Amino acid sequence: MAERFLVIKDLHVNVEDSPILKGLNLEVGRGEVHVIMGPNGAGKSTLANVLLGHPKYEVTAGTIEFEGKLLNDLKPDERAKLGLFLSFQYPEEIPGVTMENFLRMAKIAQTGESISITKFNRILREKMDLLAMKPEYASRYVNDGFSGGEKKKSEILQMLVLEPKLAVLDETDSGLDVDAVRVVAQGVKQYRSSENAIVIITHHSRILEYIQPDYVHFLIDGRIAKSGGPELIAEIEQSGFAALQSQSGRA
Amino acid sequence: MSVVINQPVNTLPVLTYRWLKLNELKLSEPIGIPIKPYSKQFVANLDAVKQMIEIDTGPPAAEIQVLGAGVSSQLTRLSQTSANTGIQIIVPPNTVVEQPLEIAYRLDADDCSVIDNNLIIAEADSQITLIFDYSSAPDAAVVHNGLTQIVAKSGSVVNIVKIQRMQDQAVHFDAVMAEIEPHARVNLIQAELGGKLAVTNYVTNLHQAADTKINSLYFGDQDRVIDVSYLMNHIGRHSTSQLTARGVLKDRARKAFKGTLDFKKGASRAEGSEHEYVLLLDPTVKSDSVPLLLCGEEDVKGEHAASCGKFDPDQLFYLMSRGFDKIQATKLIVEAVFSPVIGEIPNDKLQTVISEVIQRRLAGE
Repeated sequence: MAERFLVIKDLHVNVEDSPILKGLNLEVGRGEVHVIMGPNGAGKSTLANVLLGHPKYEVTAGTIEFEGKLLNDLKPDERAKLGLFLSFQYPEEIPGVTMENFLRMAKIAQTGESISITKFNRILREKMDLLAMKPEYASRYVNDGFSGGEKKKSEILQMLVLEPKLAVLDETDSGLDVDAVRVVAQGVKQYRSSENAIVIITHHSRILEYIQPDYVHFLIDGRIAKSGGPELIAEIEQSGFAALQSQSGRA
Repeated sequence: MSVVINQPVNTLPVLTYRWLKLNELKLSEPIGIPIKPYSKQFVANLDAVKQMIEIDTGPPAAEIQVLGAGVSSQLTRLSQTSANTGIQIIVPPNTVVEQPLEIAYRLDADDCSVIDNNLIIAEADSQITLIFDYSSAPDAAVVHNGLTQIVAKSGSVVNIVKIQRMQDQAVHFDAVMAEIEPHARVNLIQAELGGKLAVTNYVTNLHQAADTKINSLYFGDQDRVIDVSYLMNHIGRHSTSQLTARGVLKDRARKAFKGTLDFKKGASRAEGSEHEYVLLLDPTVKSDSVPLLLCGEEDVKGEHAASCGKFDPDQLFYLMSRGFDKIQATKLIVEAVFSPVIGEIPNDKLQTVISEVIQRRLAGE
């Protein structure tokens, strides 16, 4: 890897005093797309939340570095300002705040630069078109009364507007029908560039029919059990996680 | 000279279980109200409206019979007998006063009490808006006791905006009473943002096809005590009322909300609703709500709903992950609660002032 973009070393994380991540190592380089797969309870969502600094997740050992900066003690908003983004598995509803206001204020909070409503709304409409979102969603309250699929699209919309350097997609493809997966994948493809990186956390491979990852990792029992190229996806489809789990158990 | 206030305030129209401790608010200590003249100018834009209406500043010359007890009979009596300020307005028939009349009281060490007694008479098919703004100097122990009586004659519209943003040492009592004649409307917007103790009381008599809309917001932080009471007496057929209250409580603030819809015999087809939503930012706050529905008439529609929400850590994390710091995130949520009420205030400057007060309080300044 040419430069150090995201480097996670020997990461141990507790949730309510029980250990979930138990010495996880991962390096993601600029321009790369990584997929993290694993069975339920392996620690996939914990990894996503700890990257953005959810206070419920306690780092007991190890380090997370992003562009050479240690993230361990940074608050979520400080990490967002450094360019990290999390597409939530269960996005929160914020009644009373419209999507367009929310995103414009978030953009201003992150960049520190003001942007006119007209200019911002033009960009927003463009991104919404791309995700086949109806214009009226802009004036609806953030995720309020959205269906599961609409919420996931709203997360991808936020990613496209906020233009992070590193996007972590936590189960963004779960609970979506085939069409929605394709639209979401299109949004991700649009975002993908040599300047940023994407970590896709998923437990099935459907979204990977549309997005070709550079690296695939299996997360089992709090550690990366196996890493490789896209060919690993076929392996998992054939033998399932159980086989891998027993392999890693023997090791 | 000063008067000592010791009677309980905001007694419920119909008493409930004593152990709930919600029938009335007992003052934790007697409150002394100095009686002396108020020295400052308080009507901001008198010249703009005085050609259109009859207006006198100062307390009324004669005593007017009141609709109800107000905050307490003791406090109402005080405004009737010893007011040091007020305005008396008669809006002539068919006169529409577009520009809101702005009345602002600033309490401080010199003007440490405002006892106002206001009377607004809107003649048939007239229209007027009044904004009352009460603020105080920091660290000044001041008291406001207000009585505002409204007579809205047939077809008239009276809009009253009451903003209370006094400092931490202030005490605020405020009673609004409205007699709403057939086809007349009274709209009340109320913002309770300050004071160590804020007690307000609104009572209205709604005659045939009369309507009242109340938009109320309150923000309680630190050790503030807020007690708001509304009584809608539906007397006439087809009379309507809508009460929307939205509040945020933080730290150790305490609030009691009392809303009563009283459908009197003969008020057939009357409709009343009351909705309260309160956001609890800390587990140490206390929020009580007493929605009462009294029916002396069968053919009526009454609804009430009180709900509360919590600002949970996951919601905070979501907002912070988008780049908002903790105070910005909290402010976003709080403004979302208040925006429907703030948006109704017919004065941009005051909207901003309210938004700034809330921001300062959230930042703990």
